[in-house]
Amino acid sequence: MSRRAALILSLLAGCAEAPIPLPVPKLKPGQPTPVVSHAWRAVTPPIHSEWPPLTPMPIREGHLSNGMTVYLIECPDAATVRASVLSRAGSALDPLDKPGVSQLTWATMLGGAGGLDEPELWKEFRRLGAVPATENERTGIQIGVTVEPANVRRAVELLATVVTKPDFRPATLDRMRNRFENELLLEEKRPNFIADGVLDPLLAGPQHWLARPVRGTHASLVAATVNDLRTFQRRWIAPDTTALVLAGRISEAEAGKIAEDVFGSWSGSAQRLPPSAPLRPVSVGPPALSPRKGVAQAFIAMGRLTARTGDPDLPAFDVVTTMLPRLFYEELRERLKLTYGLHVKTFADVELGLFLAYTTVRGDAIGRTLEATADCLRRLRRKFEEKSPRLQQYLALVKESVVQNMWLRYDGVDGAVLAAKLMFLQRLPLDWAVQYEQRLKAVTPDDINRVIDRYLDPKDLHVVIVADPGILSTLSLDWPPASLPFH
Amino acid sequence: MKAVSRFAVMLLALALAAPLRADSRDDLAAFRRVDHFHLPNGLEVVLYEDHRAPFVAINIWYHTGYRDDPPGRAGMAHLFEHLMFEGSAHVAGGHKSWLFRVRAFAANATTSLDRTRYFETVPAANLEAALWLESDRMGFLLDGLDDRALERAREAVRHEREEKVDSRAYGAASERFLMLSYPAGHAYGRPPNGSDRELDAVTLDDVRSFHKTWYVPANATISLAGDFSTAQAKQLVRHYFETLPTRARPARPQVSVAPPSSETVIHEREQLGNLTLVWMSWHTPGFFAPGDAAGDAVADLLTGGPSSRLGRLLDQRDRLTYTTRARQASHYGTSEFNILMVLQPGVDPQRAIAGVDAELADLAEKGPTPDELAIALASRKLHLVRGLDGVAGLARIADVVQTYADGMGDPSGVLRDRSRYEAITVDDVSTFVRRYLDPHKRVVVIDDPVTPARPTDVPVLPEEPSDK
Repeated sequence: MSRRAALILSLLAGCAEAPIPLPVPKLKPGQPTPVVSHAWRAVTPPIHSEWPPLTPMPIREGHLSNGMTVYLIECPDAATVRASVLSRAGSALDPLDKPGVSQLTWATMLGGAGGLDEPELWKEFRRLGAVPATENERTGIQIGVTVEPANVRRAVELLATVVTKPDFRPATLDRMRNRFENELLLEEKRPNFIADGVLDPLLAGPQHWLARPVRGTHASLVAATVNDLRTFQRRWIAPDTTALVLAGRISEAEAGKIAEDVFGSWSGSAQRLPPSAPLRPVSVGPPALSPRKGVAQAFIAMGRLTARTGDPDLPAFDVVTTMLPRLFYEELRERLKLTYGLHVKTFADVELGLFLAYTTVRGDAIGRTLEATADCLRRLRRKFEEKSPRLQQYLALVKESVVQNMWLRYDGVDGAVLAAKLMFLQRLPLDWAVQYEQRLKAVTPDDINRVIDRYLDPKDLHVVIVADPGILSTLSLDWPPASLPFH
Repeated sequence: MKAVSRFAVMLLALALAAPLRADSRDDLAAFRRVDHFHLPNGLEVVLYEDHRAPFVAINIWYHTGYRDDPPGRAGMAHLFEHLMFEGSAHVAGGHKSWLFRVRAFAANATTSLDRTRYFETVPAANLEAALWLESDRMGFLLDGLDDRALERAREAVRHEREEKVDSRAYGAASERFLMLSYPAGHAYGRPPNGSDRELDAVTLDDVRSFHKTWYVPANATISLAGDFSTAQAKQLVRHYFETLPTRARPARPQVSVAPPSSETVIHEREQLGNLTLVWMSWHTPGFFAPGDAAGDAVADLLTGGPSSRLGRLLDQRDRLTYTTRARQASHYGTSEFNILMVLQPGVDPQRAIAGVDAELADLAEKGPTPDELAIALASRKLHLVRGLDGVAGLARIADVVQTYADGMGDPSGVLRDRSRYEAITVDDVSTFVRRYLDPHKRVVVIDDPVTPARPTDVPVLPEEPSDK
């Protein structure tokens, strides 16, 4: 190609991408606006109340000959592929006297493997444009990266290096210990961290994994050794407790080949997962008060154990906890102006379910906030006693929104990986979401009343308050409420 | 969602058979089809038709942020964001309940220095109703406004500030950093959340004046991404927005700023955090201006994970810092390049600052190695195409086209943005560091805790015999 032709071509290419200047209307300051009637705006345009169908991405499950699970979510429209390794070796498996070992093990594995130290390993990930993200949970962990389709194989190779060939160098452990130590120093001053540390043992009893600190303690970090980490890895991290998830623009054929090539020769099996310590919730008493000097607002955490995965109450409970944030918002923020927001969090695992509610309020509003929260729950209960057609309609709307939110949560590449994670860690079948949708749709007002009675009676809610000592010293609270007309 | 039982069997067979796919698809090609026009009243419209799912993401940017807070009314732009949910002339009872009725999700608003954005995703069948809502608060907010609504919004902003700034470690410091890096009175040096005194002073007249100045069609851009026909969407946008009263786009305060003539070191007292935080800031080129992309590359080179320069040296080798983060914080007109370090207990801030300076000097003199630069740029390239899938991807697309319409005057600008990064050379990096990151012309804030953590007692353990 001549230079002249190349020049013309490059100019044309430039033209194709250059912005075309748009005629922007010129308005003069002070220019009078034509008087137009807007009365027609009072007529509301048609509003469609039904949700459009959302087609979930099909998840396929397979197993390598060594027992490792492989999930494939094919999404040809995506530009990238998400490659993730899931493991059931979470902090619930920490030895009783060594909290934090799981997180330290995974961090040290990611800090050096296959003869590559941490900077070298990260350099290889970064070369692909990837930043490894680790999610540590009590019942499992996930390490994932997002890459262009052409780089999936290399990304999976690097993940496999971390999982199957950790170096466990003492210097790496030492560095990670130092990192965790600093993280703890920062975290332990945060009101939510302080509140969870008090609340969790109240909910599950001190021996249960829920009550043990995921990040460990200063003492357990100091005491952890390379042998602790190696032991944890050998016991719990093996093909039968691990899954590979490939989601995005990747075909079944490519996924199969990569999974087999990279993980097919990994051998071994994990020890049988031990039963957890039994749940021993503490009886509800007055709010637990934790001082935190200097914070402007008080942090309130409330919680209790609720329905687990598989419990027939779970769908109705999900419906109720979908209504609560709006109820709390309208009452506590909009009407009473007590708080900026009250957040409801639920968790359901095969072992336990949790209901948690958090808010921050001014010191002089703590008592009123607790009363208002109890009142919201009481009113919700009364509302569902009516069984009016209007209520049925409202319930139908809420159920539909729970279903829609579920599908939206699991939509797209990242959502599908989230669904795969849930399936693997909780050993759910591939069609669990479809089944769950049916159970949600079957929830009745009686179910709602039952779960409110069973799980949301304020007298059964543990309360923890983190605030400046000056505020705590003047508090006089009437909690738990004694006589609510619940039953 | 169904299990495919044959998948397990196929894995092995396919492992032997599958060729690797040569993949050269242009993942951003759809941005070429974006429709972009202005209504006669000045409202800018961007339409991105995409039928992947029966939803539409709606995104409206008002080109005003807290840089436009009137004197003595710091926090006004943020307060206004809250007022926009209080209801308008033809939408009684507040916008939140209407958003619920039209089945909106991922609905919220944010205020930043340069703009305030409102966004939601709705089922495609409710696009018209959602446009009705948005047009009403753009054109007729003031008709629905009263003292009670103002008080509710004011109280929400106060609470938000107390929760997010006054009750969080480093919350107050984070707000102060930006203010300290600009000369007094500069538009970018205002407290985003205002102060109780100035919030209390806001009157309904202030609110009316702010709306009439900034919340006019000529100062707004609406983008739609999703399941509609462009012709139908054009018709709807015209129907609901074309007759809205307008004024000319207001002039904004100047934001260009001369770099400081010397280094300024400011000591702050951290009330809630217990580790020292060091924040360094320089003035750099504005969004999309020459040098802006090189600033992103320098940030990645310095703190892009454990393999980056500061990650490797300060976090790992010397253990001066717990974490380091560099960022080219791009705004229109001028930006800041910030380096933030959380120090390990007992570390002298000057040692960490010296460590940063040594790396900057090295980059200024030698630049990065070509391999180092390629690694830093790889994630930038990927960032442009990730997260565009699924229903949530529609919301991201609606925001992406806004960014480029605002910054480049071209909602398809993402197509050219890739080449902005691909063109960065080793020389560009060293030039950026030499020209903008002068250690003698910067602001350094050292946020020392009132109650510092003790230096860690964690011993460095001797090597254990390996049983590998």
